[in-house]
Amino acid sequence: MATVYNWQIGRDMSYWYPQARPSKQFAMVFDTNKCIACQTCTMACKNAWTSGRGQEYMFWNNVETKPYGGYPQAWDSKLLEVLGPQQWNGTTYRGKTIFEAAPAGERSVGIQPDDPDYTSPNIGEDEVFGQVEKGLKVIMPHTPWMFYLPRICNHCTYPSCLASCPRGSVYKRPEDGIVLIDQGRCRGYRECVRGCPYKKSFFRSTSGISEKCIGCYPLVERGLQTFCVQNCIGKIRMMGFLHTPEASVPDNPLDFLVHEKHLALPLYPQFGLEANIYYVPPIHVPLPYLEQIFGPRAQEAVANYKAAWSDPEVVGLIELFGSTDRIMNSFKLIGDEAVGYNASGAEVVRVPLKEPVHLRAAYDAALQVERRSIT
Amino acid sequence: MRFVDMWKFVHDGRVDVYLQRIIDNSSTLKGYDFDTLHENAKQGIPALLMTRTTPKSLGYEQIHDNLPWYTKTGRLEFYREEPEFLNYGENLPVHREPVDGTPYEPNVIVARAHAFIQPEAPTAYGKAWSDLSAEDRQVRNRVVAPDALASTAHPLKAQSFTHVFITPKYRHGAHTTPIDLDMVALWFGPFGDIYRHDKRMPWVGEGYVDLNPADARALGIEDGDYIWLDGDPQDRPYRGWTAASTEYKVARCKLRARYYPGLLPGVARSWFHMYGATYGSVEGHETNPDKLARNPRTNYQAMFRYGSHQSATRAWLRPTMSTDSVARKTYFGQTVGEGYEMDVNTVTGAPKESFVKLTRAEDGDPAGGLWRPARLGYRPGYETAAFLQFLRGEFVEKV
Amino acid sequence: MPVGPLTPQVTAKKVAQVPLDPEDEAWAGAAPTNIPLQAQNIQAPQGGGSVTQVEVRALHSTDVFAVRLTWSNPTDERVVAVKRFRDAAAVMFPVAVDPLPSSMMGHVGAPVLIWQWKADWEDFPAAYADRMALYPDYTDFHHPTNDTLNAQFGDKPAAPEKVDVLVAEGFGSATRVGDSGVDVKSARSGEFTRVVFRRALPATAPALVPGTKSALNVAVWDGARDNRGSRKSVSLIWVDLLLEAPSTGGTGAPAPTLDGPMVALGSLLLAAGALFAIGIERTEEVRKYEKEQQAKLTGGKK
Repeated sequence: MATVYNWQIGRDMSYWYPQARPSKQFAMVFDTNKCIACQTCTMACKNAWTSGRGQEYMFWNNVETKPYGGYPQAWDSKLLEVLGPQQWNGTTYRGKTIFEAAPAGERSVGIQPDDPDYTSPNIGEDEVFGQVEKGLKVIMPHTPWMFYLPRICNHCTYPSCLASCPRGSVYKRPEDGIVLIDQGRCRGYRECVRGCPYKKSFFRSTSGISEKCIGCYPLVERGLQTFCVQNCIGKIRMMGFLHTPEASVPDNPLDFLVHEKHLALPLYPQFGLEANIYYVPPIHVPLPYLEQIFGPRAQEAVANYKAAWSDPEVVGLIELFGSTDRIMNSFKLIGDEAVGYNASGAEVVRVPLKEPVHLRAAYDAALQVERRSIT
Repeated sequence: MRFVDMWKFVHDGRVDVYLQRIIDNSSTLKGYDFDTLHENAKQGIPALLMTRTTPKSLGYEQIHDNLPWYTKTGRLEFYREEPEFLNYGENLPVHREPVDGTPYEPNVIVARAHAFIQPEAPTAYGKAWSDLSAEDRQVRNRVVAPDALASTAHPLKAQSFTHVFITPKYRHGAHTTPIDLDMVALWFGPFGDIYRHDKRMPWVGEGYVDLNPADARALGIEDGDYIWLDGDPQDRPYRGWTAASTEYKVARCKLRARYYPGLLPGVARSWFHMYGATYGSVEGHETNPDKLARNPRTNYQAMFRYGSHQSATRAWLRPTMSTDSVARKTYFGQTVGEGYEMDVNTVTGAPKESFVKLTRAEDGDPAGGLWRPARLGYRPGYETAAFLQFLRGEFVEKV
Repeated sequence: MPVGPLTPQVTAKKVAQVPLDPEDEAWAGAAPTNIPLQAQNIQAPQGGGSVTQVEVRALHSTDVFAVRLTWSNPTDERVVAVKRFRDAAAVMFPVAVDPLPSSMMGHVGAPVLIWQWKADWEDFPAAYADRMALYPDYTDFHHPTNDTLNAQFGDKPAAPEKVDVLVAEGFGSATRVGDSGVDVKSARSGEFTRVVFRRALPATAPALVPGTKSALNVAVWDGARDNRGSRKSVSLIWVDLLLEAPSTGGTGAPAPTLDGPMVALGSLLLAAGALFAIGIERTEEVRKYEKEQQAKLTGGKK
């Protein structure tokens, strides 16, 4: 066991292996306020990577409705119950991470899922917490409420899958922090399936070994965003690279959203894995639930998002979501446009801050055609 | 000229010829060249539809250029003077209760007495006021004041019918085809299972009805149960049905029930899209070793064991939506005509709504009892104490 | 079953024909050795302990060696699923006896060789079909390249391999090397499972030379208790293994060296030496024990 520093919980913690951060960290931001749970991301990933025999039940990407949904069923409520009350003192976590709370003989708190847990992947879809009654008005936060939570592997800095494997079959790439299961080395023990608190490691029946989200690394290596990001209709996702808070680069999109503007938060930071998928919290959900799932900075993030329209840089970056298949390593506002640049500093995309308005002539004499609004 | 000749350019591998014709004859596309659009599309460069404004602003020309609206007078009209509208009581914009999907008296005009509202009585056609039968109801014009509506009742309430049943369309599909793909069906609601552990499932996903939890409990229905969904027996699931017939077995709707706290009491909801049961799919469901509801000869795959949401609904005639005299724009182009026009002034058959009876049919779990997620306490109305703590965000404390 | 001596030894009786069948009457002539087992509680994830002992018998001829394991196994688990684990059992040999590898799967520089029987590998394809019957195919299509991937990797390389043969240099380092020369057969006898491993001699590994002392160790995985990997019932001490010497002739050739598996292990360690190294805590007790074992076998010479 070693001692490592986890900035999401504001303190040192114990981990199976010593500190070793990658030179850059694959990360994403999801804006839950724009997700409509259309599952296009789910279908994109499924078609690309998990359409083989034995992979039918696997969804490396899924979107679940909170609070009644979960894939596998109750993955988070069960673990929270086992972990017990989680105490925060400001932004420092004073409770136990899943490693610190490990029972004797185990490397972490973990739950071994069974086949039925993976059925009904969309259980709880659109179900609100609280009964809709006559006379209900929309107030903020909503009562009753629900929101959509898209999830992939978090490519954690301190992965539990990696720590759980007794034979080192799970590794984290030093060049980009993507976490992978070595298919040649795995022997199907399923310790990673037990150990991952987010349940994003999956056992495959045909091969008898386990697999997980690969971060679309063949795309990332070519400077492209992942399939789930590229295919998101609502443009709620952005993939890039994140630094630690003290090494934040302000014109790097991920650092800007997470470290500079405090708009996006990790999933269940109290688990202690330093997860690298960040969420803009849903602004309409009651605060206690938001703090349970995204940590103590939830209120601040909601307030920052509500004020986002007054900040042209934030507006510009959000407009860059879903605008290109290229990874943007930096961005800039130039006049009334937001521009994204790749790792070499070359421009890859440019979008207007406001949608341009076109007013056409009622009759185009050259083409002899009328332009109408009602067609 | 034969039918095959109409598609000559398809056979020649020149579909672009047809596409260019569409472009050249479209007011929003004329001026574009298909090949250029195609090349741009390959690089992810889109093109704009050339409406008068982008973004589109309906009514721009009427407001700014004083172009007429697509009505008889060219103005927005809030009163209709045609005899059909007067006779039907809809010369003023009035609210009518649905023809079937209401707990109140169907199809009544809900309005206080007004000199302009003078519809024809059913007696003008030789029908009694008491005649609320399905067909005649469509042309029955009774005016009921808003505060008197609540004391009226749908005739089927006397036969234990309880719910307005709506069948809207859902974000997971367009109409029918995409829903019947394995992965879409799996995510289409809460009852998906790619391995079909419960062999009663027609396929990897299935049709279901959402119910207000208190309503369901009052009817003895648990979350996850299979239930019967019955519409007006006068003509549903089909005219002349008899209980012991094969046709009735194929057509009577059996589907899963879901507790849905987002519904008020008295409303049940199913999604419109899913492929219904057929003679062949029912044969498959009852004779296939794994009970898959798939026609053994054609491979048609149903997402219902029996019937479908359409077993409980039907299309209704709304006379004022199919008059011969009303002015309306044509479907294509800018001319104004009168009377029938596809999707504009015509009978519409889908989606539909009705008034239904719900009866428990089978337990949610194939071995009896609650289906597993309810048994484990993850469902609305079945929550364990710990799950409730989770729902309330009570696992996190501030110290 | 009777409890064996305090420092157990397995003596492989010399016979004319070495059977593969666990129920062959020839086994009655081999002296049984009972090896006590315990839960693996040295390193997390810990587990096992439901199997408290295993009986070992061994036979050899001039050119064949076989060892039979018998243990109490009330539930016969051979179907693997998301939360189902198979029964397995393994016998482990030192590759070389000087220095003697750690009894806990060897240590760096001192490899061990492992023959592992898995209930569903032997019962291929029936047990595999039972597994896949839990996951019927109702989908519209399968993406072809995933089947290509599946053919390259997987828990079970290919039929008709029945035995998993690995080398290891400590916990977590086991690497498949394969050995088509090892055969296996199991049988159920009441609530007991019997497994015979048989291999032709001479073997490049393990070093099994009649008249020369070697060692073996055993481990058992109880599928019904979710045993797999490090969750196993183990013996933590080497058991001496002696093949009865021929009545004439000397002690035979020196122990053969091990080439193939060492190369494989070398590349394993290179691959594993990426960002997170495999670390194993070595306690003082273990080091002391190893020194003692080594001294016994090499007469104190290093």
